[in-house]
Amino acid sequence: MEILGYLATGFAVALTPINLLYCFVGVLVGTLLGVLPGIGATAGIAILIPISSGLAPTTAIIMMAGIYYGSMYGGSTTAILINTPGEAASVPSTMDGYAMARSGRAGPALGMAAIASFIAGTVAIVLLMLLAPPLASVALAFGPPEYFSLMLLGLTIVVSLAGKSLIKGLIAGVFGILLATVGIDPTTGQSRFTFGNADLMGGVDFISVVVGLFALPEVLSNLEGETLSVYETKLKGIWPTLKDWRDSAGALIRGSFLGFFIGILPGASSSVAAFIAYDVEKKVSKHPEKFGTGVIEGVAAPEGANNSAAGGGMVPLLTLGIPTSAPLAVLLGALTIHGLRPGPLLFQQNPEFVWGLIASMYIGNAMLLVLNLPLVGLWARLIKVPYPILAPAVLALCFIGTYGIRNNFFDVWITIGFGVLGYLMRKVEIPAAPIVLALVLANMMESALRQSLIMSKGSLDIFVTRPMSLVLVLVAFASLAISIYSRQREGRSTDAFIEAVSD
Amino acid sequence: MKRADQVTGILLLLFSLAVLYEASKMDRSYGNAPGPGFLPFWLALGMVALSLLLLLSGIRRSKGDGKPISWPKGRGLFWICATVGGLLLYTSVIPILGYILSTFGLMWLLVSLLGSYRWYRSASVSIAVALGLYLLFQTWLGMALPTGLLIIP
Repeated sequence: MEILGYLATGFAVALTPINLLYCFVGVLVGTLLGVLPGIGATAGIAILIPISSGLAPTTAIIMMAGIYYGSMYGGSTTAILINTPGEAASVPSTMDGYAMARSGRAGPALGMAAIASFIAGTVAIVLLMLLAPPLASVALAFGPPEYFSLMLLGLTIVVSLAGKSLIKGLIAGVFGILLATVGIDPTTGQSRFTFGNADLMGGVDFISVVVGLFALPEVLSNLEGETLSVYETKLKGIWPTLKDWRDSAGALIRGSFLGFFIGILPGASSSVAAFIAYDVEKKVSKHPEKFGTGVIEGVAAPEGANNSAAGGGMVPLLTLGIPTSAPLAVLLGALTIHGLRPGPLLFQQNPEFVWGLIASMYIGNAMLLVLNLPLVGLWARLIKVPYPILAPAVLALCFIGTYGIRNNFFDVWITIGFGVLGYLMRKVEIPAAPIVLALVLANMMESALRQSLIMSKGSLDIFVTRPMSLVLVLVAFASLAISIYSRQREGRSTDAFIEAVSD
Repeated sequence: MKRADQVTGILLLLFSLAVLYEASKMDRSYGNAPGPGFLPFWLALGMVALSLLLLLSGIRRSKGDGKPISWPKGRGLFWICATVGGLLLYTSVIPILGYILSTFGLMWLLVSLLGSYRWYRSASVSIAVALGLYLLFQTWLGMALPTGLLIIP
């Protein structure tokens, strides 16, 4: 049992007071971001990157990962209480969760959401622990051509899943890579798209782009005139009854495993996992007609799935360095900034980091259960923070995050520019997630491309003559083809689903 | 969405042509490896093709296809403009007024515009947020928030 030895090392790292403290800060902030509208995990992690620069790498990433999976817990609170999901991944929970709240069972709905999140989150970490090391050792054989094809695959799947139109998804992806080329070319030292501007030579920082594209448009959209009404209810008895448990048991197990494996796939984020889990539960149920009227398995399945998908997403991130969704792309950026290069070598070179992080996720999930079960009433009260106060406070926070990148106003102006751009992009339905993913991956992609073409003396054949790379390239093209085909066939019925995916 | 796709297509086409022009000035090869201009050039070319596709699909679409974009109107539009304007103003005055005063100003402006509170309530909330953020990030977390020309940070 080699793994148990590693895990013991991991717990020794995760249980140091400083790491425990920041793990707690992370899951607390994550829950908060999940509950509050107007700022999600993606922008939240991005804002905290500059702030965390003084921390040790392991501590910083433990905190930011805590925000990532913690936000999955918080999202359900608003979904159940006010029919407004704090995160896209909690959209399915609104259907039965809100119905339960209206029939006076808000307590058990919230309780089951937290318990499902905990169980599924823990299952995901166990699977992550078992699957990641063998996957990492396979990936050790990867050379630059395989890496390039792998990143291409990651991008095409995200592009083909995001948004209603494949063309717009592709535009976003290409734009993201172009954006990353601004500045000094790391290989040749020549400047690209800088127009002699000293600030542009340093490049466009991905943090300011992420905050611009994810936080500001959210604030602006929320100002368009909807008023939120909190469902006034007394929370009594958050423990689900024995019948609730019996009804949810199957949903919990299916949601956990389904979510994890969906989370591993590029582009299939936690929201996709939640939608599919809800759908599956409806299909296997003996009384599918009752879904939407407040059945507890309609809360347990998606809430479990979105948490285990969050854990599943850590597998390709840690073993291959490939983020499968926007918040993971930001996490990858954070890892790089802290000098950690995710990929197969990470497991060999930084075992304390990898296993410390994994162990901290066990601890973080337990903390989240405590934070969300007895304290759920506190979070419910937080929803009542009036938006006129919350909105400008979020803006002030965005300023701190982007100014903190390198204490430069240039990055703040970039954020404001991308904020307005992101708002307009939402209107014309160009998805933001591919831009972020492309921006984070672009530099590695370009250097992998260059190294590959040096190896092959300039011939593109290298990507299709090496078997592993060929498979990856074929899957990449297949994902685009399937996306075109399924869009033509299914048309509108998938709209709601796709909308959730694009966040 | 029909009009929107056409307008977006045209704007993107102009943008990608400009990028293509810039990229064409860079070296596409460097020794026998791709140079700094390789990726930008081909991506810009791809972008030109994609924006043409978007434009064409916008023209080909039937009129009733898709919902029209719901642009904010009335109060919502005013709020959005005020928020963006406030943010621009905020970023411009920070180098002069410093972080605390500017943040207080932004908060007070937007809290009063977006909400309907008595002035002393919005002012006290604004002071609390501005000071709270300063204490949290500057004093506790040790970030260097911008100071202005005044004595107050």
